[in-house]
Amino acid sequence: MNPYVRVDFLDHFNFTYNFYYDNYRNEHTLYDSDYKPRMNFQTATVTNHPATSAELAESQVYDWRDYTQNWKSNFVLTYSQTFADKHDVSALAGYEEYRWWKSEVDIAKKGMVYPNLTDFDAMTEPSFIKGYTRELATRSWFGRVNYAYDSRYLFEANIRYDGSSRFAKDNRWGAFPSFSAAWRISEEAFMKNNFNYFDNLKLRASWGKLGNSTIKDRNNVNQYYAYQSLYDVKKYVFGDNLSSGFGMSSFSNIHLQWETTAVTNIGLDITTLNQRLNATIEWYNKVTDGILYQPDLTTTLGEFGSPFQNIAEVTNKGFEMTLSWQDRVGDLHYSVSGNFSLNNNKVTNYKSVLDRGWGADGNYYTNIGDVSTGGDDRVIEGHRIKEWYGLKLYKGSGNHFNSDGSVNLNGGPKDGMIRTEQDMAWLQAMMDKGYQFYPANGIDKNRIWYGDVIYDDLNGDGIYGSDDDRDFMGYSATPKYYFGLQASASWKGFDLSMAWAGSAGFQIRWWDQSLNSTRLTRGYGIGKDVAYDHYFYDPANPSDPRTNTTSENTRLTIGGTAQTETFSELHLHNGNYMKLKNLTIGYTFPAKWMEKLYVQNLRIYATGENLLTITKFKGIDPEMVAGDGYLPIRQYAFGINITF
Amino acid sequence: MKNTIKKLYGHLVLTAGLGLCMGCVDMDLTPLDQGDSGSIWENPTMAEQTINGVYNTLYYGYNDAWLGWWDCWSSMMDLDANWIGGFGPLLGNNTSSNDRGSNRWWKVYYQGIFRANDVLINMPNVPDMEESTKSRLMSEARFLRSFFYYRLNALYGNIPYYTMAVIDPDETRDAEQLTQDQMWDKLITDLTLCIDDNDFPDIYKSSDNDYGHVTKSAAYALRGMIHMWKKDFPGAARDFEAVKNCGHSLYTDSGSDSYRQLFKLANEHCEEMIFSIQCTDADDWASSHHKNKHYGSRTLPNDGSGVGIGWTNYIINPRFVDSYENADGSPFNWDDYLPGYSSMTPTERAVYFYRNNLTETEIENARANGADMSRYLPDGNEARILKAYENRDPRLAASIVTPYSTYSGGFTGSSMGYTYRFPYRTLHAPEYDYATDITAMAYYTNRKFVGEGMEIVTTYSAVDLPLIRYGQILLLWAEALNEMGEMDAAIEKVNEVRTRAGAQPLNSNAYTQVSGKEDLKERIMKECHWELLAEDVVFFDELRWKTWKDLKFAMTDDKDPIRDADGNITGYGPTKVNGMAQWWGRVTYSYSWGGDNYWILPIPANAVQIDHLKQNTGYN
Repeated sequence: MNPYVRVDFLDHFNFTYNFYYDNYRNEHTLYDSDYKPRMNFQTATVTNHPATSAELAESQVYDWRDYTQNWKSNFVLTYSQTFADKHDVSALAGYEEYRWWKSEVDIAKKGMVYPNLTDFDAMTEPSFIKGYTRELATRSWFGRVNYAYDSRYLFEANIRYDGSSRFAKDNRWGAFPSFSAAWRISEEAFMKNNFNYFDNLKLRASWGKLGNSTIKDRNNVNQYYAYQSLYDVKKYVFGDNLSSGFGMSSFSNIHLQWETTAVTNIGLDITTLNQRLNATIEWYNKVTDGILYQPDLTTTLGEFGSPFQNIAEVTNKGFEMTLSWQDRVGDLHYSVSGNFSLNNNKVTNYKSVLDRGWGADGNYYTNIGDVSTGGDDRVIEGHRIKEWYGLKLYKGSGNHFNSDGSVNLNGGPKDGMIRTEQDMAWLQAMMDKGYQFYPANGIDKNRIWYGDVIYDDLNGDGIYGSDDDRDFMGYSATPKYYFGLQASASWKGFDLSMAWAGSAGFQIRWWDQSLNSTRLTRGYGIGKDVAYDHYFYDPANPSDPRTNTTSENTRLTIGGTAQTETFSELHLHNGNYMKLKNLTIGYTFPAKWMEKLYVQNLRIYATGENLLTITKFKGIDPEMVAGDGYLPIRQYAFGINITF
Repeated sequence: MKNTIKKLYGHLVLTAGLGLCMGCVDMDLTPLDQGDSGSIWENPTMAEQTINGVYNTLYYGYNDAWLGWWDCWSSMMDLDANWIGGFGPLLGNNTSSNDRGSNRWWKVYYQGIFRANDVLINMPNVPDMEESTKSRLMSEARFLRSFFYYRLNALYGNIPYYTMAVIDPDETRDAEQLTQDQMWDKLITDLTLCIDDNDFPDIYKSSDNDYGHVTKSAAYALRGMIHMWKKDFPGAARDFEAVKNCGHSLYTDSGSDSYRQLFKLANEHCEEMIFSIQCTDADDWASSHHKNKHYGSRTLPNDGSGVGIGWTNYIINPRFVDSYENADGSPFNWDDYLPGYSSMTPTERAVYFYRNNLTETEIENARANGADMSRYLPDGNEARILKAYENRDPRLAASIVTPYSTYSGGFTGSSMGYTYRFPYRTLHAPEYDYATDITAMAYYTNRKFVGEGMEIVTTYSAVDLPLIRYGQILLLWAEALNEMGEMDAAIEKVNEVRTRAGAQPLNSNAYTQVSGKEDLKERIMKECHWELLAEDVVFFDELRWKTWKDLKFAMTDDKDPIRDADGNITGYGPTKVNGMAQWWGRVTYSYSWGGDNYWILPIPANAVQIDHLKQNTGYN
């Protein structure tokens, strides 16, 4: 709902007042349906029965309600005037208020008399009643000034002053200015006279700051009171009655403030060759400072909510380029356009730098737990956000023993998997020499066996695959590069267009039960590729028909082995892909024919989406950065456009 | 005229708009479902309720069976094969970043400790509250903190002793780590403070509104248990006597059925319970435990999707079942009932456990699985195997579902008897076979804390979980007396427990004759296992007695045959270490002893790094 008022006055001024109101209600009522016999077709028996009175005494009816409302009220005053035909000036000033609140109630009552009497009055005892509310309020002042000279030089300046209830009083407000300028070089006299190649050549630059107050916890749930230290309501039973009480649940931080992002952007737009060639090149540097983040707490405090802190700084540097060409040859019109972007994000400031190595006392030390957050993907200074952090596979030379019979320390399996009896002999010899292979630490079917992988010893302490050997992989789940290609053509009424999109420079973590992992669980299926192609070798029976020593997949085990279940390179897959997102073919009937039908325009078309994916990743969809889940659907549509 | 009206209208709206908006939004908001530290300690009503937060930590883990309730760490039970993967302490590959083997229990118990510290530090300053109430609540918090430290110390050793209420997360750094022994001394001092508190009641009546709050008897009991760790046996015996004097006694109101009835809802507040986790079914599943679901079977009432509630994730180890004595007190031996049993391999002797009247297919399958079908009796197999179970210590039948025994299940909506037969055919008519979640295997399952008939129709249960009860105290007291050389007094205590259970009392016949101090100690340790199965307490005693390694990681007599190309057996592979196993001893997965450092768990890597702690030897 949005009632508004708009007043124009004094020729150059304009005043607008807007009021927005939103109301959202979501109500669910849940109860068991009437009895329907459930048949087990394998045994031809009915396996359920109508509810008996003892079961009805525990049947519940659930009622859940979610009410969310918000209103926003703003008024804006604008001014614009042109002086002496060359100077365009405009300005804007405004104020906005916003309030959002939500209430959620969850009730259940149990003890049904009969399955279809589902009103609460017909139930016997309350089962549970839960509910909570949340509220958010913000206010902001803002203003803008624009100045343009002769349509060649353009300037703009903005300022915002925002306050949010998410922060304590002393830290509530933040000021966010921004400036931009543009120069239409192609309009300059010297360009028009001497370098007349460009239809449009515009250079633009901007710098601005914005604030962010959205605070979400690790489960992506919005937090509204993050600066306060809170006691959850905790219950216990005394005298057979449920009693509510308090338990400390999170730490506070009254110094919490706005997270700010400063973006510097420089761009160049070019149109040339008779408007056939268009190019845009942009370079940006985005620094986000004071990122609201919950750093990991020591395990000792691990069950408490970590306080949000303005703790990190991330720099996103990037480059985007779009190039397009359109032309015609006779009746054939065509255009091609490509875009490419490269994004480098790096955590430039977080707690402190990683420091690990061998100390003077001969012990290995590391401060990784202190200066980073996360487990298998970490936020740490100097690396991409959530860069993968795991064990690296051991890469041996393929030789096993030296000519004098001693074990070759650099030898062993080339790809880290124990495939042959020689590999196993090498492993045994290494262990005899005192080296240890973690996490399983031992040779037998329960620990390291034929078909398992071993890990590298990166810190040189003689333990291959310990926690200290984990390292950063240089990739995260976020792509480094994005690219796309669009092309279209039309000829005598036929039109064709297609769009490709892809990304590269990221790794997907995929080691899933019943899909690509060799971990079996009783009662679950096995992925087809894994079932028909996995490592197998039994030293007691080398001629067993199941023998397969060259498979990419490790050996099958129930529950997985310590070697394959620990997070490592084995679980990471390259996700680079290119997809044909859209292909459309259409035909517009000639206007002459259409006139007779009193139709202005008739076009038929066929279009397909998500038609083709080119990738090496074997999981469901690299675009979703997941090996399983719901993937974007492939769809075909046929349609007719008629204009009368 | 028009212009003026327009202007006037404009001014009106401007003023109205301004008036509507200026300062009608309040940005000082606080949540309405949580308290904040500023207001809680200023208000006696709220402050009194902070004790609930400490008690609430006791529920932790009982709604998540995957975590591994303590009995599956002990030699008595085994965890579901699907869940054992990654269980470092039992598989010999534990690290300081392992969830169940390092992180989990450290952070949960410290959470309870810091909540208790919050109460202990802030409670004295609460205005307008009676001193006696403050004192009582502080004693309760101090007991609970000591209980959590007791568990932490037994599991990890070398832990920091925090007594401050944490305000800034950096406060936990660089703490001193006490040795296990130093920690016991600290706890004894703390518990003595509780015991010396006059406002701390000895015991609550079962109908009391405050029932469930910690009592002085629990403080005596825990202090006594810690004296046992310190090997101060006279001190322990004195404390256990004090527990008795608080008013506790064994539950015997149901006569010979008392051991079974002790664990039912009606008796959860009886005088035998000293300290138990109070549960209710009035809060959905939150203030209760899930033993009904994870101990129970598919014969339990319908879970709404067409199958019984129980998942049978906790299996009883057959070596433990075999340890239950005969009814006359003699040790049980398979060879007495089935001559030649112990010289057969497990797969061969599976034949003894098969049901009567097997079909042709079932016999073929049995043979293919290696059973020695020449010994099969189509009409007498069941009767023959039943003999081995029917004349045993009554606690076997009361705690465990044994072959061909009956279980009263509620799957059909009313009580129905299901018989545990192998191989499984069907849970429905006409067979009414007892169905576990893994019907292809023959495992021993739990009866304790599982609903019979229609007693419990939910996954969660309202029956309180005993953490300390008088039966356990009697056995610990007996152990202390025995160590002090007072064998007769010790035997008297053991016999109180045995008589209540219906087992043959000690020194009443040839088999039960106690031959000396070492013999009595062995008997008492076994008694603790039979009496306290499914209560998640014996594991800590196995650590104290240092018997855990030999019991849990023992060598079985199961081994795999090596066959030649024609299928003839040419030899056998190595014998297997104990693990989850079927009735006849066939091992499904084996445990693996990781080394002597495995007597304690590694300190979590994160705590070592951030708090600069020293890791336990052997772990890195």
